Amino acid sequence: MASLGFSYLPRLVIDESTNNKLEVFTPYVPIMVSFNRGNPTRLIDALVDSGSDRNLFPLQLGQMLGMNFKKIKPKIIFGIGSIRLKAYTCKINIWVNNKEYGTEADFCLEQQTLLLGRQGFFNLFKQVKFDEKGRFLYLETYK
Amino acid sequence: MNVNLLTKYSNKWIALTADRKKVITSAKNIKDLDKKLKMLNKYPDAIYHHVLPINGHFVPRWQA
Repeated sequence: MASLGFSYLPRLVIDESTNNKLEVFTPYVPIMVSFNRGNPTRLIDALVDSGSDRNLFPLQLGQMLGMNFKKIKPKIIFGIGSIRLKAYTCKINIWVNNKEYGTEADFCLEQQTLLLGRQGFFNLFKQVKFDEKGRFLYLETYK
Repeated sequence: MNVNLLTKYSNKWIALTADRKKVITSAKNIKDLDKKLKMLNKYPDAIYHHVLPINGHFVPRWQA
């Protein structure tokens, strides 16, 4: 059992009504992704999202990995505002800190940032801990 | 990572050096970014990062 720690990454948010600039710290994990025994990608920052049921990745990442979405039956996903979108589920491998995990993700044209959700990411670990004051994310592995 | 580095890349994909101190290149999506970086044929340890839009707080929209 090991604990992996990832520092939150800062980003800038501008309040358009006041023009105030805020620095917001967000939990990301750098991952590599592969499909169908192909080469893994370079490291990609993925946002750890406890509000997401599943992993949600951009369709362009799937295309980059060689997925053929014409052969996959789309499913409907929805979220805030009840907007319905098409997504394509694929089995993938992800690497976290150089350890490989088999999982799956939904790929959607309208999504840009990689979202790591509870099914497909959180459930790969014994514990996922958000330290908001320390701006740190801890992943406790099973082995 | 210096946030001021990211202001001009709102809602774009960027490739960062491994120490996250410099933006190597940017693109409108991850596929184009990967193509651009492969053409440079260096920076094997670059990190890809999507810069969330800076004109508001982020609330994930989609769930299965």
